[in-house]
Amino acid sequence: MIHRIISRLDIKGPNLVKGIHLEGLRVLGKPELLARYYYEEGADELMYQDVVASLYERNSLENFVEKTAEKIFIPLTVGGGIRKISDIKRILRAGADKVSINTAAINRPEFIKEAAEHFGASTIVVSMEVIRQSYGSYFLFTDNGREYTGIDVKKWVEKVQSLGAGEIFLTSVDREGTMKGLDTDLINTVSSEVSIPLICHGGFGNVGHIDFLKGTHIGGVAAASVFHYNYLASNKEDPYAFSEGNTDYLKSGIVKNKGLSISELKNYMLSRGINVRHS
Amino acid sequence: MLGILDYGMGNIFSLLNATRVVGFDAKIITCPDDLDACDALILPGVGAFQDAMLRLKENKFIDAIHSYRQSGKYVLGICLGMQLLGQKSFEFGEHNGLKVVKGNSLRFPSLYKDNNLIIPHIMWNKVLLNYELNNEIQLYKNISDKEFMYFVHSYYVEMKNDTEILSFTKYEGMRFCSSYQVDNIIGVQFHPEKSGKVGLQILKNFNQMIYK
Repeated sequence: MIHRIISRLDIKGPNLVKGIHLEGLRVLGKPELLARYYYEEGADELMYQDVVASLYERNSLENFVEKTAEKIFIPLTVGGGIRKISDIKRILRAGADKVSINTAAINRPEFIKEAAEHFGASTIVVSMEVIRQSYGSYFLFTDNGREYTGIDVKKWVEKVQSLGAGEIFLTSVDREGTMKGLDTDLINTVSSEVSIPLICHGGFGNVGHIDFLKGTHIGGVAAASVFHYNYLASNKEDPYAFSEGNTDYLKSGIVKNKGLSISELKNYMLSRGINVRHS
Repeated sequence: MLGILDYGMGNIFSLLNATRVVGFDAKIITCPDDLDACDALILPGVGAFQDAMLRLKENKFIDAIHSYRQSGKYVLGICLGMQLLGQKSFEFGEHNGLKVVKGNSLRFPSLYKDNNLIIPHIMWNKVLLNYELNNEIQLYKNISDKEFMYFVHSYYVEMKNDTEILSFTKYEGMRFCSSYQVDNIIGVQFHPEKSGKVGLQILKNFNQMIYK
């Protein structure tokens, strides 16, 4: 398995934002600039997530998707607020390759089947936001980890595969934004059940966190914070160039963590015998 | 002018951008009559084989594609497009393709020599050039052997004639045809428009094959 390194960009309105446990969103930059940086750095794929779309029932990523598709020639997955076949059609038409669905799939699982039949299984990613429960099992949440669904992740993985999903994007809400490492218990729980690609997300913070991939059938790892910090360490963002959002972090001018570049990560992977695309 | 056939299957906007970036005067073609003005044609596609054939038929593209390729102009099939140019597909039953190229589309087995295959095959994988071919492969000019391209598919084309295979790719040890050429008909299983700079080089080479 040649694993993918995916750069995830959380987008709110015109800004790239990042929170911790999907909450407390801070403005970090302009999505189009970061996307370009990750493309040049050797990202295997980009993922755009409209983090407030399901909350406000809007879907506003199309402009970014169009702008991205003009200049960036790697796969792009787009999620957030996708509820209908026509939403998928619009996002794909704008230039996305895959769409990721969470809330709408949980509200009506048949939507996965309809979407997979309409656009091909490989276009439909089911996104799962998971929180560990006190007694050790993992349950699904929607709306950025706010809404409890009462669904066990193992059962849901089995269900979405039977409905024809093409890929699973698994987020550990507990680890998300913490950079403390991925939740490998959760990943093992899910990866033993999957026959479709699995992308793991939430908590990736340094090169050693990638070691678990070696020899597995896991499709790849997605990360946000660690790559964003790397971008901010080498690129200046003017905090006054943003018309909305919490720009305190940018104004502070303090970069606590130099993060990790995608090329550094890939060099490390190759040195550890973990298969990845390199140039 | 390069025509990109739009019959409602998949992301053609990226392909339009990528071909324009490498210098094509590219246009989206929605009507068979527009084919006459095209110096070359791309048949893209993502999705189900049977659906795609039905939509080509509904849009009256089938005869148009046949007369187009008989004119000797280049046709490039990408992903599902590559498969559609073949004889038949065994995706959910058995369905006839355009029958331009002698090859059938088969689903990846879930097990190959004790290796479990995760399906769809979604990854950047290496393109191994077919060294049995004597002539330089124009499509891969300035591209090294074993370059990575982006794949996303569950079916692959099993070719009848090995000499028509331009490249192979291995998935968990299983070798399949990742590109072919039969005279003016070319098929690539990967997405050049999504394979970064190397992918763009493929499109640039395609451009030079047409306008050399």
